[in-house]
Amino acid sequence: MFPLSTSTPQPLLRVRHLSTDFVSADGAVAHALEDVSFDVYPGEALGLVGESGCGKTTTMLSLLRLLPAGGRIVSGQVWYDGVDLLTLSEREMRRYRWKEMAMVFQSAMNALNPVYTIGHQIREAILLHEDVDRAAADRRVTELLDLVGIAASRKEQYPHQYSGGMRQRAMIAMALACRPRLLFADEPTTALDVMVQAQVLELLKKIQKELGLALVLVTHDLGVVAEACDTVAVMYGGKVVEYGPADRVYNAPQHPYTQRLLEAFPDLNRPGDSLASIPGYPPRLNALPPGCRFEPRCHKRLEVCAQVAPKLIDVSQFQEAGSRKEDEAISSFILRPSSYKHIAACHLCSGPEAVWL
Amino acid sequence: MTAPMLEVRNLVKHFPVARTLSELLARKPPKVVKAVDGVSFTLARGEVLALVGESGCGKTTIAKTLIGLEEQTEGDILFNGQLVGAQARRVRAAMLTLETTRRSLEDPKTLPARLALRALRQRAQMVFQDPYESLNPRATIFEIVSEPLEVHGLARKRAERLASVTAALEDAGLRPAGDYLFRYPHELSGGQRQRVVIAAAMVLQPELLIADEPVSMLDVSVRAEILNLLRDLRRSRGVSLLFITHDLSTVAYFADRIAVMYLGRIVEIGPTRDVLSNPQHPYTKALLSVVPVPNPRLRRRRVILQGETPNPIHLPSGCRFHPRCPVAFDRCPNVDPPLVMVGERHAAACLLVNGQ
Repeated sequence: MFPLSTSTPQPLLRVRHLSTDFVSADGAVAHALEDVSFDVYPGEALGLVGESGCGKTTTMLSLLRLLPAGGRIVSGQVWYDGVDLLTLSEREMRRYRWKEMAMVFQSAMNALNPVYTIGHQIREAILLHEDVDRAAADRRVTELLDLVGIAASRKEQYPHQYSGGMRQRAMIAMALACRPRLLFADEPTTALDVMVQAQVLELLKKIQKELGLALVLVTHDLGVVAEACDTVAVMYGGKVVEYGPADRVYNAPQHPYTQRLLEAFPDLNRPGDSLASIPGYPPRLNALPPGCRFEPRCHKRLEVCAQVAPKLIDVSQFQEAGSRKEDEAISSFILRPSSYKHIAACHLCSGPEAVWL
Repeated sequence: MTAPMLEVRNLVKHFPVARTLSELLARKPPKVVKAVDGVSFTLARGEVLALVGESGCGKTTIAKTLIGLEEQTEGDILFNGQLVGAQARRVRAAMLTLETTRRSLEDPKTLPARLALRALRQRAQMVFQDPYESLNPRATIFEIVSEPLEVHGLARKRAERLASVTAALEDAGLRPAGDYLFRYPHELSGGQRQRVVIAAAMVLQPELLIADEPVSMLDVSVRAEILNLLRDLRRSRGVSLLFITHDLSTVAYFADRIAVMYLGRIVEIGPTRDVLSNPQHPYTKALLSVVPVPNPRLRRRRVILQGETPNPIHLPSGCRFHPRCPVAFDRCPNVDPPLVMVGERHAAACLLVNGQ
């Protein structure tokens, strides 16, 4: 009945129990990430979603080992295609950045150098990482710009001559310069107008499909994740509180934070509904509550929540009432095992403890 | 029917662009940015009107013109049936002709106009986008919220000011107000700061609140709180709200009417429900189709317009949307369509509606 292939696909990126601290100048320690685990399969798009300060950008910088001064990875593993990136020397790590995993930064205006042309900057990335001559690099620049929909005639223009949307396209072209297999995009659409946002998102989806890229989309925008991602990891206070296939997380959220966040997001299909709000503010990373980090703001909290941090519970067995999506879920399970893993960290969830191997 | 609280008639605001030396030498005519190019609308007491559009469509310029921060090039602004634009113009003209601002402030000749403008500002207040930049970092919350009272000479005694400020802060959801009065903006979170901004606007008990992207800088969970607060203020105080945003899903949540703007013009205006469920202008349709829906099951066919909004110095001929319009036809580059009624209180400016 199931066309099971002989070899199950392996994740391209396996993040396991990653914890990162920030030490400030006066020696105070902030636990920015704690026990973060997730998988990214080849060709899959994962959305890392959460509010400011939840640790989504720190996660990405930890994976790339690009943490700013004061940040250090305390424990965990980051397996990329069978290699634990955290055990590599800085020199070996350089072979992975840009050639294997590349990044699209949030603010295209600040990430591009204003005194060099766009073509120059992309060419530089190619020449730095690949053993090719200038002419070949130049041909590649034209190809890349064509891929992201920028006319070759604009190759020798400067960033200020580009509009916001075009700069973001140029950033994407630059990230693709060395044919990476994994692309990180940090809030790629945040500062853009709605229509340009849609253009950039559509471009990312198109490129991901055409090149079979794995994509990690870091954003605070639940709508963007719903449009573009297969899997979602919801982060709060430095932890992943819910992880699962997008369809499950959006339509049957198990963690109270995810539930409230979705209710707080205005939806065109439900105009006039009153919006849920979450009282209070996210925890400070240097003064985390001892139990569940969401407990002080949670509308469903129990007594135990304030004392004991919840375990990760496998809620995959949970059946959504009246769901007709089970068949679809099974078919996507065969394609991507991760898409059937649904995990939540809450005392209210029942099920076996989730294990990240 | 009583006169609307706010009426804007054919508002035009052009900004001159400095010519380059070569353009000056070639005697080229001066260029203007047509930021707002003939906009008319009304706002009733207690109504919420949303001005929606992408950056550069002129929505913020309209807001600034309404409260007299910019002077309109043409058109009239009527507040409770009284002309206010002209007053702002007279004050500014008087200030420019005199040597110093200080002298003009003392000049009795400009006094009536100045008082009128000040009276307008007392009745129309603005909430800006970025609560990190719109609060003075060196002033306490009390100083910030009581300053409008001092400027307008409303509460002369400190005790009166304290009472008004306390009430305004509590109305804005900062309870108990005593905890906030003598703190500085940097001690507050983004959501709390935006509440302070709203309290400072509401302390004068204005009739009109102009909110320019009041939640776009805030996180989702905090955003909902601020939107709920604005909705409550409108209910409890009957304040009218001009809500400026690029985000249609936020608008859907609490506006009574929507005006969609494109390149300095209103292309569609009508009751929220009608515009959202039955959009008539192709630009509105496209905008609606790209609003991200927080549900992967509802991924739809999106009408993604190619290119970006043209430069408002060189406006396209005819309908200014035609170069990006997915349904443009041969007449569009030649005819500039006016707003025509397409339903009860619902109008759109497109040649394809109502058989124009």
